Amino acid sequence: VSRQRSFAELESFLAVRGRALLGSAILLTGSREAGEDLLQHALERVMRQWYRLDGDPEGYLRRTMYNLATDRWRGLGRRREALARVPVSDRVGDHADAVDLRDALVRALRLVSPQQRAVLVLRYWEQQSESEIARTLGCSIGTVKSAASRGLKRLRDITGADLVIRV
Amino acid sequence: MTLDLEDALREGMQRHTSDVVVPPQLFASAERRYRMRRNGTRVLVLSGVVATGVAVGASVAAGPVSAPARHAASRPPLTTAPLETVGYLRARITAAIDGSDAILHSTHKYGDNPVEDRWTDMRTGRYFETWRQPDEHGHQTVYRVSGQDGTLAGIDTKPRTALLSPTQLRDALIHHKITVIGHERLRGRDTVHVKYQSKSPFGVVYVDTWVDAKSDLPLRIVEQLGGPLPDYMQDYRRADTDFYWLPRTPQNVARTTQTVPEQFKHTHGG
Repeated sequence: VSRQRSFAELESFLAVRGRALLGSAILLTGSREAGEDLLQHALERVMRQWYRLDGDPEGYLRRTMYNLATDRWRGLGRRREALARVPVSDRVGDHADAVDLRDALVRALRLVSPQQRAVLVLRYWEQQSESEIARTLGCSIGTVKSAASRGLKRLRDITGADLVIRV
Repeated sequence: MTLDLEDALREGMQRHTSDVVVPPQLFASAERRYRMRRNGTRVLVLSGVVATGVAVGASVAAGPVSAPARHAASRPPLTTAPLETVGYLRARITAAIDGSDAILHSTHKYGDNPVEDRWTDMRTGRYFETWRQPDEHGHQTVYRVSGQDGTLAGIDTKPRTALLSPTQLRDALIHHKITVIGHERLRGRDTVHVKYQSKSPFGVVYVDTWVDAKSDLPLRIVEQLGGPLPDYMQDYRRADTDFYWLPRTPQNVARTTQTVPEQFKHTHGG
């Protein structure tokens, strides 16, 4: 299998699944530019392993992207940066309408821990089960459950809205 | 107003990503980034320690900017220096060896015994070699010469361990995981010390090579066989080869086209 042909296969895969992956990347990073950068970085990592990968590259690409997102966020101190950037007006009170509230929840994702954010994106955007999330992130199902629970609670606290968490 | 948090988050995420489109240049950019990293051509502003090349004992690989490099951003500007990645070194050494049309004089010894003296025309591959082979009378001189096209045309001796020519070294550097030890002085020159491991019929071979930091051409290779060796191989545990890259003068070219003295006869060879 030639190098050119192999990368063409990867490019075809991206044409089919790129939109969903980029959506995840944007939710993980909090902005479109950072999301594109994250997906590009993950693709480059996959290219390095391309000739050793068997089967569907999506699982590997997704794992790489989530690991990069959590590492990068942690490594660059992005959380502190995000906290400083979020204006007070992002907080939503009782009077906010539902649309604003949903937007505020997504923006507030930047303020939860990297692991909590990754779990929430996998669960509510990618619709993965707890066992699938555990496999993707390389952690236990118990960790997934507690990260999801704490992440949701944190989102509710940040937005200050009257939200119900189902148990 | 009371909302279900999970539903609101799910809907918010869908709203937030509903108009996402993958930029057409994203894949090409990733591929370009991959090729640059593979070829080691990425240039970074580095901290002083790495910029001076003192990466002692560490494999240097392109990766996220290190913590010292990040902190360096707040310091006064430093000299911009290329990152000496393994890939970058490989590319430089390969280009230097392939592009050389020098006359290469290489000397080779096992332990403290000088055994080989070879003159190679790097443009044509033609060489002339004198090999001193120990025998019951002391030493026997053997000549090893090449044809016009550089292939073996004269006498070959018994199989050797793993003596490396520059072109063999180039291939070895491409196919082995190499480690950059750092900059060292050798014969009055600034060199980059590189090492790797390979295999031979006699077990693992530890190969150290010193590459001229200016010309990127190898100046010395030291090969050491690891592990237990049979008695007849004990003298061959360590082999040192020195390379002298000489200008292409008529006198030096003539060294590669010498003829074997008449009293020697062709015994075997390709």
